[in-house]
Amino acid sequence: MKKVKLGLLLGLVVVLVAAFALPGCAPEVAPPEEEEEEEVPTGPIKIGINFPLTGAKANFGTMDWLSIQLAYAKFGVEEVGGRPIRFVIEDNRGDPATAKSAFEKLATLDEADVVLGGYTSSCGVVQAAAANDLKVPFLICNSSKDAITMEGWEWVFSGARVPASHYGDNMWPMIDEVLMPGGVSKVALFYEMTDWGTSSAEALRANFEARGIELVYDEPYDSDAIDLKPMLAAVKAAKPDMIMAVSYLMDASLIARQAGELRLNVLCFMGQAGGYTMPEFVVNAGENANYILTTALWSPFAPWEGELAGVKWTNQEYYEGYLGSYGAEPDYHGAQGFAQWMICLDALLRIDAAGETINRETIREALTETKLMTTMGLIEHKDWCDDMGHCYTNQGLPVTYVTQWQNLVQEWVWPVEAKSADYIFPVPKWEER
Amino acid sequence: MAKKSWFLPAILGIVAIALPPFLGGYFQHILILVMMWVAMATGWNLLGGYCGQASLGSAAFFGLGAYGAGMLYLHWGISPWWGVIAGPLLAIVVAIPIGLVTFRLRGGYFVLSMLAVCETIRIIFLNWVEMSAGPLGIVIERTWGMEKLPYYYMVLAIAALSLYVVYRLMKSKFGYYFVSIREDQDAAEGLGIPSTKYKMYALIPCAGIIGLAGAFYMNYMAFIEPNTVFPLIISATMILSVMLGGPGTFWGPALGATIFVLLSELLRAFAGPVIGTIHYLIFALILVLVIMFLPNGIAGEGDKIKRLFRGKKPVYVGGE
Amino acid sequence: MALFGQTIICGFLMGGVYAVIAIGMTLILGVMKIINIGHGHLMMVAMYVCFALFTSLGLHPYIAMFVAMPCLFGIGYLLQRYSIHRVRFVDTILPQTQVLLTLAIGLVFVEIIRVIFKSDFRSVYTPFSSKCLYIGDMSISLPQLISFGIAMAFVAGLHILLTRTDFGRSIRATAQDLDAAKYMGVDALRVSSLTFGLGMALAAAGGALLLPIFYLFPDIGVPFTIKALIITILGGAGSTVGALSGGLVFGMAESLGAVYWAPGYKDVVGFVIFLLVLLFMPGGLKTVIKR
Repeated sequence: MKKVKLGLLLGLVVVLVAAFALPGCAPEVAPPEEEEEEEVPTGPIKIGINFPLTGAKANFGTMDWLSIQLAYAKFGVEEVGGRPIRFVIEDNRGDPATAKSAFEKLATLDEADVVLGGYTSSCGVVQAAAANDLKVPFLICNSSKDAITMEGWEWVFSGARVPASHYGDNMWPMIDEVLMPGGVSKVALFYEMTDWGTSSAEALRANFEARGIELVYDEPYDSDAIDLKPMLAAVKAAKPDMIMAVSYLMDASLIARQAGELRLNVLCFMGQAGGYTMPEFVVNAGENANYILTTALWSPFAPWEGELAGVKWTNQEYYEGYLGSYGAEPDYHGAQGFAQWMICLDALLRIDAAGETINRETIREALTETKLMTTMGLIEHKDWCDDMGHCYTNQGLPVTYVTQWQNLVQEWVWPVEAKSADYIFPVPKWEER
Repeated sequence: MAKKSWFLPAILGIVAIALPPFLGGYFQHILILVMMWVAMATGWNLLGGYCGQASLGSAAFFGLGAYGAGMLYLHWGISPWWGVIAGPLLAIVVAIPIGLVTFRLRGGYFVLSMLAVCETIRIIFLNWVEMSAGPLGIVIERTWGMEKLPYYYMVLAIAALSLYVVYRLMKSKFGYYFVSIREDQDAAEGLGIPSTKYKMYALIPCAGIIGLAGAFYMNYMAFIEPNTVFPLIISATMILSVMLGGPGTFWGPALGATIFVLLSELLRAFAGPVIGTIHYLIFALILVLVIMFLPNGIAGEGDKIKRLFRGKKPVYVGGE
Repeated sequence: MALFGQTIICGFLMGGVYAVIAIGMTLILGVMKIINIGHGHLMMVAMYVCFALFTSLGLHPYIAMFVAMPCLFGIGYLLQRYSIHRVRFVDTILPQTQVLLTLAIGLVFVEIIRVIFKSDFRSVYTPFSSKCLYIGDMSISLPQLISFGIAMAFVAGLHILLTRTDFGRSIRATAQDLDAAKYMGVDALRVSSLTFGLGMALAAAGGALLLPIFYLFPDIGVPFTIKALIITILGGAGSTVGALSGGLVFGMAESLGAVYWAPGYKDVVGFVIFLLVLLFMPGGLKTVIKR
């Protein structure tokens, strides 16, 4: 009887392995054929989509994917060079090991020509490494980890994504010209305990110290924390002139609300993009959101517009299109997704216009020459180094700016050349609002 | 335990060694994950299944193993392959004091205390940036890029080693002591078996094996951060694999881990496009049904009659 | 001084809400010796019920609570009767099968909610949510204060139920000695199912009290499960007074940890308390209080 049992188990294992193995034998035969130069692929152009579409991280992964679909519909290009465009969707649940499985499947089994993905830093870094190994062009949308483009991976393109340490780039002129003359000399810095928070804080800390601004509070916190008041009470006791906060979505609202409850009065409260720029922020923080300044990667007010594939577009249209199609406001994650499809489509069209075959190699070459106006501003894939000694490959640098919540609307206040409203500084005390 | 059926492991071994070179990269990757979980489930089974000390915090050993390898590279630039030694070592060194404290507790309280220990370690690794790079994680250079077979054979060796270690231990007197502690700790102590000491003898190989799998994970994935190597879901996956296959059986955990990985991937990658976002719901439902109706796992139900000679529960399992 | 006072106030108010969540767990653990890892997940389900009522009918969570509690009572009753109970008395190799079952059940509920409500973040924000009372430099959040009051009412109500009614006595009898209670004519399955339902209803109350001051997403449960477990162990399984004092002590410990140690390490405070209590005071606070 025991043998029957074990035989059954063995049979089960063999069946499961075979379920994977049989289709798996096919792709191994395919690569040698590709080496023949004259072979012109006729099948569809496969675009791999590798995002968390279920699981705890699904909200932004889904926003990326919806924005890509919106962009696909907007530009209406359904085939390039006689080959239809086909999306192959892989859900990675926000887990790095699964993201790698999904990438391997896209690269070998589905033979994707290019892959779009990259939400959460840990998935992004694993996907990017796999892309470089498997020689598949990979357009990374959100994952902010600096190191992703610091490894010299030439198959990874990060035009619309901003490395975490550059989220606040355009805030420094404002600090120099407005806040410091206005009396800011002590700053309280707190940041969520993630890669993005920690990398951001490193860059912020260095820049504050270079200006001789004293950091009177400098702590990471857990973004799942239920009550942030104790931390804010400690911040209040440190008597800062300015608060610099790096927060995820809902903890940002909680901090804004609880700062109001504690009457945590400062000359200015500066958020670092992330939670402070999102539509949900104002819904959850209510009037406490008012006067909060935040660095931003994108806003519906950004004056970007252009033409791609014969279709004129504006940044505002993307915002309205998303709101109209899905009944929710997008934030910068979605704008990055939209921009990445533009960059991808632009590369495909340029290859076709040059009369070349569309394959992984030509897509990679075309992407290195990208120079395109997108919802994230003008994107180029370049190699450059910053003053922190970080050297990036194929990295664009979308323009960042500073916005302020005024009467529950996120107004663009810096740089002043493109402002939609004047900044308010110093902000009124909580008691006087 | 599989006594005379030497031909089964032999066939499995031959298949495991000979098949992968003919597979595509994706399937090799899946098999690598399968083998990694086989090793971890087998390791967990030693302490949890045989010795009865079910731990909901074994991700601690996995993470420590991974960080043992990663921190070598981070601080001293030493190849993370040395982590194959350093990882398990770190896991064992940390496991010993953990065991000394938590083994004083029994049953459910032991389960919870291990969960608390694991979460504490995760928070320390997140916050202590100088030691572990905190949430920035550790990125290493991979030895082999596209080539998966070396990784596969390495993890196959780890899985085989873990099975061998468990097999030998369970064949020795330790095995009988472990089971006696599981069945009735007080009776075992009454017979002169120092239970904490023998639990420790089960914990050390368990932590070592899981740590080894962690060190392999570091080398293979080339990126770790505390939230990906210490989460509750890793501990839970280990346990659920064992539950699925059969706790306290030799082949059960390996079988459970294989089914667990393949089934979740099948549902995600192949059924997912058809059934959409509910694929994980179906997976979770299957888990609930297995625990409810096959509480001793697929392999464990075969031995049910023997074990349940005093029970009233009828045996309902197919293929009798 | 203002900082210390503020810290204590925050911890105390939060502790009251933790206590309601934990009291459901202490009941289940104390009476049935079931460690319910799905506790936080089921609380999350209750929060979604309140959220749905808020968005569709505009009911404030404090009112929607009285819909969510019967819902969760029903879910809890059915779960215990048809699922968890089944595993409890099956002779398994691992005695902890029920722990894993509740874990898997929790996963199922998370995924069901995810399919219905997506993974988006939600909250119930009303202008009232950030009203405060001020004592000098310290602030007391009004919704937290009200939550605290309602929480105390539930704790008192449960205490009376357990000590003054027949049903309460049969629950306590089952907790003390299952076999003896059976001989005395207590229908153990019915009592345990009702107790499980009651525990879940209390978790639902906790969730509803949390909703106006916090936010909501499908994976919210795990930290609350862990907090409830710590409080249960701290207070002593099965004791309402223990859970209340445990909740308050834990809330304050967390709060003090965040201010005087580091916000990142504050959860460690809870775990250390948990391990110390398990090792050196296995009965929890209730043993101290009884004396």
